[in-house]
Amino acid sequence: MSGNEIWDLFIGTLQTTGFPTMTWQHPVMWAVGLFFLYMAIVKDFEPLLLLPIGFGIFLVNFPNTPLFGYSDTGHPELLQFFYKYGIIWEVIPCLIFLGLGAMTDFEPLIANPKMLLIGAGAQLGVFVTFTGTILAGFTIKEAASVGIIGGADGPTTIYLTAKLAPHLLSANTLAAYSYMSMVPIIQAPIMRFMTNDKERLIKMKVLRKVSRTEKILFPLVCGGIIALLVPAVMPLMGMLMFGNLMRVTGVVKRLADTAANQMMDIVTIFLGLSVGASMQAHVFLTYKPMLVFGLGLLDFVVCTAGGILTVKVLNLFVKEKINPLIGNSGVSALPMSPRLSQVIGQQYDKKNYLLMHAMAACLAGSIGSPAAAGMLLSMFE
Amino acid sequence: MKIATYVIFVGLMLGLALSPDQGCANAPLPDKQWEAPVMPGGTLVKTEDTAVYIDYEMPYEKVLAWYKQVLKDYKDGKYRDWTDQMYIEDQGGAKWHSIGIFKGGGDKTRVKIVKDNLTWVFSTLLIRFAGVFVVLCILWILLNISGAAMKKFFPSEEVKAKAH
Repeated sequence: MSGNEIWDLFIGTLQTTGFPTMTWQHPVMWAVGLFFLYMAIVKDFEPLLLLPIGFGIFLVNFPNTPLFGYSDTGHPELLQFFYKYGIIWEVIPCLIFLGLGAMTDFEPLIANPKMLLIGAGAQLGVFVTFTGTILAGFTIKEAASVGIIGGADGPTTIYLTAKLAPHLLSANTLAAYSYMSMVPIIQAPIMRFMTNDKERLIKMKVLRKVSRTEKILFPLVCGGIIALLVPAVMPLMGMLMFGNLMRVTGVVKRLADTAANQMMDIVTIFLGLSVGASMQAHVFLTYKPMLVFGLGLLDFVVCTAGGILTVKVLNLFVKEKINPLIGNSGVSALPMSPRLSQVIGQQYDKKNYLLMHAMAACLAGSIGSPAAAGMLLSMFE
Repeated sequence: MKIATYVIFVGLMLGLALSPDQGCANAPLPDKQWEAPVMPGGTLVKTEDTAVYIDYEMPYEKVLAWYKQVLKDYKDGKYRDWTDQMYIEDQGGAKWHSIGIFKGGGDKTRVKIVKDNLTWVFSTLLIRFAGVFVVLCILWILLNISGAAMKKFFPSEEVKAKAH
């Protein structure tokens, strides 16, 4: 074998590696992936999601890896398979809602249903950001998908974005989950700024007990209303309510436990990896995904303010005043927002227990956010 | 002098009255209006800041078929078949917002092309934000009703014990 032949062999082998097609974008995306891994592992920020997302980003941003494309025979490669059938086909967000329904106790909301209005008011940012996003040069569909970030509802964001602007999926999902994990940093100053000492000291009545029958009726009533008024979002809400029905009836404990635990864990793995994998350099390193983070932050801020404002307006009309510190929980960042309401409330009065009331507002947000998504979706149907 | 002023005034009024609304009846048709395709063979009857109206001496189906053909590769165009018109809405980033092709004119068809505008965005968002409140308000009312009914027909153990 001559030297030239050996050289050709070497070059041929080199061509099969990732080096010849490497671009500057690849290391940038490794850094992004490693950043999310750092946040998950070291800072403990939403590790259940940021860890698989971070690793997904890291994996797909090596040239020539057969992970997120299509094979020569046309079948989707591993992560593309998860992404296509899980996210583009909208299966994963709905399954997450099923698990959430099985995990959630709606008792605080059933006991105090006027909290639903806080959940509606906290959607203000969704609509404000929509306008801002259009002014920033996004299309209407992109604007709708970015707007929903403020609801701090990951599965709803994924569901809406997969339908309207799949190319923004990774950016929107990351923005939604990142801001959820930054609730104390973002919401606390807004809560302090928008309330005075007198308001922060408002004590709320202990919530009444809710009967089993009421709990069973809730998913039926809520599911029926949403199905009639915003049918576009029923795949999500239907699953949420079904999960909850399994939980509250108590007759299918095994199924409810599986939905809330094992299924949720499995789906979370596929969701994280798929979303991370969709963050390929050529998609992510453009101006729109970058803008999404800025707009998403604005969105989250306005949604928080919207929830607090709604409480203030409600207080003009109701006899039993509501502490505006629970207004931030109108976004559905569970359990971070209610926990923050409780912590800040107790900074001003150690005997003020706001947690369950804030939980009610947060549960209202978890219905308000899909309702807002349904309203946006109906624009395009 | 008075007569001259009178004549000028009447002339101006007549001119205004006889002029087409914001001008341009029978003006030549552009190929595109705010980037939206304009079917040839029509008459531009009215121009506003945010809309133009074009009349065609041809049936609705023919005009619709032309627009469908021209827009077949445009994925962001959404067709809404309303009672009085086929409403083609842009859901992408085009400079036009909608093309309305009006029905029921026999061999005459009117097309209205509307420029992309923020008024539409603001109003639709306002309605939809109010819609979220409506949905949750209805849910609130029903939960109150069902809660009250539950209390009345299925009193809790505590209430039953007190009654005894």
